[in-house]
Amino acid sequence: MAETGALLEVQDLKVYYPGAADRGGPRRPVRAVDGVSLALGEDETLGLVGESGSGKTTLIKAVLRLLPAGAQVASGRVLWRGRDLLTLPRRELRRLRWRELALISQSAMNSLDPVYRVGAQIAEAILAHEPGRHRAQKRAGELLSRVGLQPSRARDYPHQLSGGMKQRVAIAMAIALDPALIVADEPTTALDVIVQAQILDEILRLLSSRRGSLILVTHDISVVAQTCRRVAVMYAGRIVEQGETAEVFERPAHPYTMGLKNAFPSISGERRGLVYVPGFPPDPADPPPGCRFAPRCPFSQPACGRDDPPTAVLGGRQVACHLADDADRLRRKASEPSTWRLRAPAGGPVAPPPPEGAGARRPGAQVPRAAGLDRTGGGMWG
Amino acid sequence: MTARELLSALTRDRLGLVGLILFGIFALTAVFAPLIAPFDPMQMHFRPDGTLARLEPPSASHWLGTTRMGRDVFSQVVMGARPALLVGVLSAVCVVAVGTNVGIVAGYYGGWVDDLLMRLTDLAFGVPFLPFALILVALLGPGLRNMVIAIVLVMWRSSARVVRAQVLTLKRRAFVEAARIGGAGNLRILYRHLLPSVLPLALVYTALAMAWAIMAEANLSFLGYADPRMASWGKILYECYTSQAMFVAWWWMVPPGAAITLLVLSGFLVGRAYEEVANPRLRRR
Amino acid sequence: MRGFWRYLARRLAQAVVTLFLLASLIFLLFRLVPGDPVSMYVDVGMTQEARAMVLHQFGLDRPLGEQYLLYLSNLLRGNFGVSFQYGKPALQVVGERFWATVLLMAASLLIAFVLGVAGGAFLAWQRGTWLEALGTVVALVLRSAPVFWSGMILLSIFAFKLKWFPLGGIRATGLELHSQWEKFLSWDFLHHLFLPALTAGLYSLASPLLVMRTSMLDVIREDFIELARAKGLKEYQVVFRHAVRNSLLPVITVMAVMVGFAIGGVVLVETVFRWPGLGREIVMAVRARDYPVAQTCFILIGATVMLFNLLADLLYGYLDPRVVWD
Repeated sequence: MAETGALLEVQDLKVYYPGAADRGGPRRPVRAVDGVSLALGEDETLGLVGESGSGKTTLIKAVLRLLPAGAQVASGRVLWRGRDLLTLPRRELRRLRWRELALISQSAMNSLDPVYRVGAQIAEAILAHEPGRHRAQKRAGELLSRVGLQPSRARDYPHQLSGGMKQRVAIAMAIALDPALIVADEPTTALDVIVQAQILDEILRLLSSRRGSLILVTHDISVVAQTCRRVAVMYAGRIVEQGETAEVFERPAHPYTMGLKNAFPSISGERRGLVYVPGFPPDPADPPPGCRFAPRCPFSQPACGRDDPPTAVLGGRQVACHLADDADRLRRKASEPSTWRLRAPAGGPVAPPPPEGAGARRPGAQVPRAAGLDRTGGGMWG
Repeated sequence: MTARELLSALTRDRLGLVGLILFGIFALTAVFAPLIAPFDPMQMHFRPDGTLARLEPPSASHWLGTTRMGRDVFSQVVMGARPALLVGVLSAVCVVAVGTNVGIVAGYYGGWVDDLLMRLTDLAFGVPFLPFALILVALLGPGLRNMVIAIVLVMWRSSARVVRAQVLTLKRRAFVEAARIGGAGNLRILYRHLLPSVLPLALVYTALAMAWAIMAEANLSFLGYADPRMASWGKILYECYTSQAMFVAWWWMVPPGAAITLLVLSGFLVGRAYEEVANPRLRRR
Repeated sequence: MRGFWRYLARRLAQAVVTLFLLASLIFLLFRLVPGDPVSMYVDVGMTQEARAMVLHQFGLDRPLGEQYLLYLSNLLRGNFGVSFQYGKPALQVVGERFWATVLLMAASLLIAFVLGVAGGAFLAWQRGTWLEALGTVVALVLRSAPVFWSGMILLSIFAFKLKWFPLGGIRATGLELHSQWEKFLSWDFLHHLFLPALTAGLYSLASPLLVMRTSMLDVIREDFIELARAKGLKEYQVVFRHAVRNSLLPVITVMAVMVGFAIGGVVLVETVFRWPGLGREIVMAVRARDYPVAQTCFILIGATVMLFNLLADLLYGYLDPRVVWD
């Protein structure tokens, strides 16, 4: 799948974490990302959606080569303008970072070093790539005003800023060198809800009006619908469906995407009852054979629990489903709430009951607002 | 936590196990010291020609050589385990007994009792230990008992503070409330309900207090306040230092210091290993 | 800034209260202990006249409560009594000793801090290897070894055998001093300072080292470390500018707590290295039953501990912008 002109191309990437051996069994690696391929063109915006634990963050950390110690790339390549980032010599990787690939990390709140002034931290990113301390500092002030902060804020320490302000600083930092790609990992999760709503539009405006590409990682598909031209849906370490956002959400072809869409009230503005996908995502250390979604899928066939699904190409879209050809029929059935009633599907038992307190991991189990599949950590700074 | 759980926790941590074994070796040495030591530690030895066997290097008859007065270093080091362990264990038990009582009483009663006891603890923290102990032992006269008194008077402070903090969190737990509603008196709650819960913590501090007390005994002995009736490691080193023989007689200088180091280390290792069990937050990551 | 001065004033007031309590403690100690309190203030070799004067000056002929008040008011006026050994006011005897101890203490804490931070960062980096286990054991052994003994060993090796350093004292005998400054600022002084400071520093090394290791392991998992790397900083910049810099903070906290422990080490090190500081002086004074000097040393040792405590807290406030002086 060597597309020409791709800025970033991920090929069959697998990232494993060493597993715990606490149950006395053999140590099985946790397959956080298990065979992901995707491509991103210049000036393209891609939304990466999925529940927490689906491997979104691991995927982008692998792309940026920021995996924590212990995580291991089991196979695959990450091509940046044709060169493999995973094997790039450190020096070259360092030159590429931030100038080409910038990051707004999951909790921008904690991504500022508490002991330095924010202006100095922005300037540090600039200085890592071009000399001129004075110019870098001046530029830091300008960047702050571009994200709606007073330039004098450059002299503040992170603890003197509110969550929303820190968020803006993180954005200012990301756009400092006008990189070809910004990866924003759940950029608003850590903010409290009201600030989130206020700032979200502005953030997204800044990020999407910019030339250059954007990967927006989120569990909130409504944000993706507003912002990204393309979307990739992740489930249990794999991409189950990707394509044009409008097309994917209007006419989902993978049963999981259909379920996901049901769990959100307002993508297309219609008012109807929310329906959730029953069951739980599989244990990533012990995924089911065949299609990962089969145990929860209302349409699963014997083949689903046996063979890995082929990737079907429908127009500009890729779907990893055995029943992709039948998508239109499934979609009609999926819109009926009764389809999603809990049952024991062909693929095997529904996942074990969650441990106490794991409610937040259930897709849609607590989606009182149109905000997200899960809100782990959200509102903590409220 | 039961004794067996404690033991298994200690043996799981390899360093903790090393500490336990070290301590066991020293304890056995102290108990059987007169049987192990080949000579009376104060006996002066003579060469065949009748001269004093002073500063003899290690040999088959004197495994660790002799002192300036012709005494057997090995016998002295073996006998030195006794005052070290005596002071160590005795002080540790008293220190933790005082500290634990102060801690649970302050934490449980709160109010002015807590204020008073905690100001007292602050004061104890402000006292520089070694100078204080030095003056006290000099005034009361050298001896193991006075050393223990000096150690206990200051060292109870850490366990008191930690135990109090623990009691403050325990107090809010249901079992204390239940005991009170069940009609248990203050004393009963203190010693039947709270004490068992802080005991694991107290045990950590017993091991650490033992290490500090043994060190204190060695330090005071080195400054010349050893118990005159016993051969202590600190006293051996005091004699070695004051006789100016340390530069020539390494066999006189190295063994007693190594013995102190290993015994104190055993206390730290056990305390540390056990602390990780008693306080899971500290567990190694 | 106003908050800072208020903080400083409060800390100093606390220090005064603590010193007052220490002075009272030592007063009690000298009087509750069996024996004739007069003999503690009056030397047997004194003339009858001098004896009467001292007795009167310290009010030893009056009731205990009055004695205590007189004692305190004497202290406030800087009258710590007259040394029996030197026949001079105790404070005058001890004054220079105070600076010798402060400098030794500062040097040893600096060594412990620098070695602790570097070693702790190294152990965190070597996490999970045999080197990390070895480093932890070495740190604990250094804390377990009696400091006077390690001093004797260092002295035998580096001063006696190798002759790299002097055998003790604070300056070469017969050295001519051209100024007061030269006492503490000369090469000769540093040459004498090195071994004792190293001995005391190694004794205090374990806490900063182990705390630095843990703190470093915590900090390197922070998001801002990841971001620093993503910015394209060089690895050493990520480590020193961000990881080490943030990990320092808990180390300074533990150093502040450790000062009280370190002073005991300094007392012993001074004795072994014949360093003319408060520690050696208090040992000699107690041995010579020179109680005015012993008592003055005791109070000043308490003051030294408080001084370094305060310095550590101020350093913390300087290094952590989140600290609010109050």
